Amino acid sequence: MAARAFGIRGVWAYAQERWYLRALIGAALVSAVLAVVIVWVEWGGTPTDKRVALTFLINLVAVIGFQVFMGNSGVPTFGHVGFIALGAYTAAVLTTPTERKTAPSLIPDAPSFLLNAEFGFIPSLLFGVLIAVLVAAVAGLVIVRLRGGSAAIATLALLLIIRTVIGNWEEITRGPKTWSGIPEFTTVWVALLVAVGAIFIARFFRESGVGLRLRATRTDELASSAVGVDISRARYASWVLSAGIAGAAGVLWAHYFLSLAPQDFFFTLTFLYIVMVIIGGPSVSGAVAGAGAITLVTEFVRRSETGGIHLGPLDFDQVFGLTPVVLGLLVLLTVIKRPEGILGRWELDELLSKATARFRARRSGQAPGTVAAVDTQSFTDKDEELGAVGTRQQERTSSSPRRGKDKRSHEGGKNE
Amino acid sequence: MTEVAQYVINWLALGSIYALLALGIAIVFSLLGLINFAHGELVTVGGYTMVVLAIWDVPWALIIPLSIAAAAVAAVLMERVAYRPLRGAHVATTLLGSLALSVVIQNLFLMFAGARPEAIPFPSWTQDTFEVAGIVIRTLDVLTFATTVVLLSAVLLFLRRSARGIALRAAAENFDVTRLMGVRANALIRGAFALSGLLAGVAAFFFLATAALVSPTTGFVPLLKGFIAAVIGGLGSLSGAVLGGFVLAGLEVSFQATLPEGASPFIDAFVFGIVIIVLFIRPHGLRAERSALVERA
Repeated sequence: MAARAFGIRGVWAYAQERWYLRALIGAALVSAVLAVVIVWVEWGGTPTDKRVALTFLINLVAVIGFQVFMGNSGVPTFGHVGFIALGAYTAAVLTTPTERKTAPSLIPDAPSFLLNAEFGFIPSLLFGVLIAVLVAAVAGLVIVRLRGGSAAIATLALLLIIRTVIGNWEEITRGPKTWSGIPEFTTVWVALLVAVGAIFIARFFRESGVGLRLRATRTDELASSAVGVDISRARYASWVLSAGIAGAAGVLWAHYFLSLAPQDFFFTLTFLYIVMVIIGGPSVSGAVAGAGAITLVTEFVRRSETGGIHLGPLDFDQVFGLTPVVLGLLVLLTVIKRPEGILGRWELDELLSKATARFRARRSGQAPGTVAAVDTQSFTDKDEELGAVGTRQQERTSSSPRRGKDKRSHEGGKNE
Repeated sequence: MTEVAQYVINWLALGSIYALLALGIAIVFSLLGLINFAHGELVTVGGYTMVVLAIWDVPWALIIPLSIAAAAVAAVLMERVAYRPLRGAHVATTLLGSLALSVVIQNLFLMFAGARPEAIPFPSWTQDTFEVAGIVIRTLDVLTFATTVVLLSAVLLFLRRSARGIALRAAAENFDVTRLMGVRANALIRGAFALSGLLAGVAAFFFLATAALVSPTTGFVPLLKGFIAAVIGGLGSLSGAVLGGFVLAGLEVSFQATLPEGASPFIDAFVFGIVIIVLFIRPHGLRAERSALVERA
């Protein structure tokens, strides 16, 4: 399937066959949409709109962290808010001015290298990510070994461990008390830059070999291990990477809200991010769409909440708990009616090429059902990821003398 | 010596509550592969039922069975409203659905009952203590353990001897074949949820009697302990869930007894750390049954 055609379609077809070009184009497309929206809000939005946009960007980085693990592996995670907390607290400890930290009310008993640290944004980001990655690298050894529901419960246990340690380690984190006085580094452009970086990393991971193998395990665990995928290894890679992205989100969070309390990073936040991933769908574009949609919904509910709600005999001046009820019902509706989210499991660019293929087919008078067969992209193939894993492994070993055997195992995998 | 006896009593009482919760979670999981995040909300439902009935001056001899019944009815309703449309979905999907359901129920309580904890006017005998050989024993602890033993034996007998119980176990092994044998799927699942709710309702009484307060978020701790216990035991194994409950309680009580003063806030972290290590050594739990080894699709 060499790219014979020239022009846009030829370039497109050429790019589709190379994972890094596919990732590059896809990530650039989503980033461009994101950047346009943010610039538009900055240009004409009210201060409230701008605040919402900035919070959205921080949430977006966190959600992409969730997506890299949850979207690709299909394993729900409750642990990533713990990594966000680690990032945020690392940033707080390393950047708050020494003068403040040594005050008796903050953390005067901490080791001196922590007290003396007055880092800028870049080292703060690096260390925040590093701490999250280190903790994930250790915890991941266990979590990737677990299958099914047990893995999800283990991530929950991890969140509780991190929450307990941060909430009680008075020497370093100030324990249950609020930490304030963090320098403000997170502007909308910094957040946008980090978000775009996260989108690129996530998309490159998704298209890479290990990302593809991981998505195959999501489609069918048994079949993917039959074609030679090491499930634990693929999950470990995404677990550590996603923890790093979540850590970055925590750093942004700390330098925007400027004060932290351990209870900020618990179940409510976890639920919000899980909602965003579920509503959007498991792809990177899905995470962006989900974060955007939920931000709009919660803003809408919040603004109508303050005005009071009058539903016949029910008369609320201010409704606490309405936002989570709405979010919860949205998730229930999504998992029942559309388990793969708004975007299905597709990326924006994949949806676009599907749409253009359908459009071309209609113009040339073909029946829509035959499109998948003639187009270079067969998106309707349910086992796309599984098939692709088999193909790629076959390509890699095709020059070896054991070619016939590999081919057999590949076909076996595809039929699974 | 008396101190050790004291800890053993604490352990048995706490373990009983965890075992009841874990068993309820395991029954539903073994049948449907569903991790019911809303299981903790059954405890909340039981608690608020007690509050409302106590306000109406209903005697406690009626409040206890009624609150247990309320939890069972709530469990059956959950199944009908949220879990039936999700039947056959992937384990991750149903888990997230149940998480959403739990958040919805919690916040409905928040909207209609308020965030402020409500006091439950438990009868005074729940606070009584008596002394045996120098050991102060709470009547409630004895009652908790005794009730749990009786209830677990009854459930065991039900699962072993009655036709419905055997159908339930058969369905946990292979749901499709059980249906082919003429067992009605919906009735069976409804029964499983009712049983799970009943266990949660009993656990609610003993769990809430200590603090005598109920708030919208009350369900979180019992849910968490039940989950962890069920996972330690091997999700899907009923005997494992009971075992897991006592193991978890044993860990907590022994950490309380042995850790130095300064470390006590970190008990949860130690306990969950041990849990993760247990899972590292035995990823499928202490009593993994064959059906739990293959992930349910």
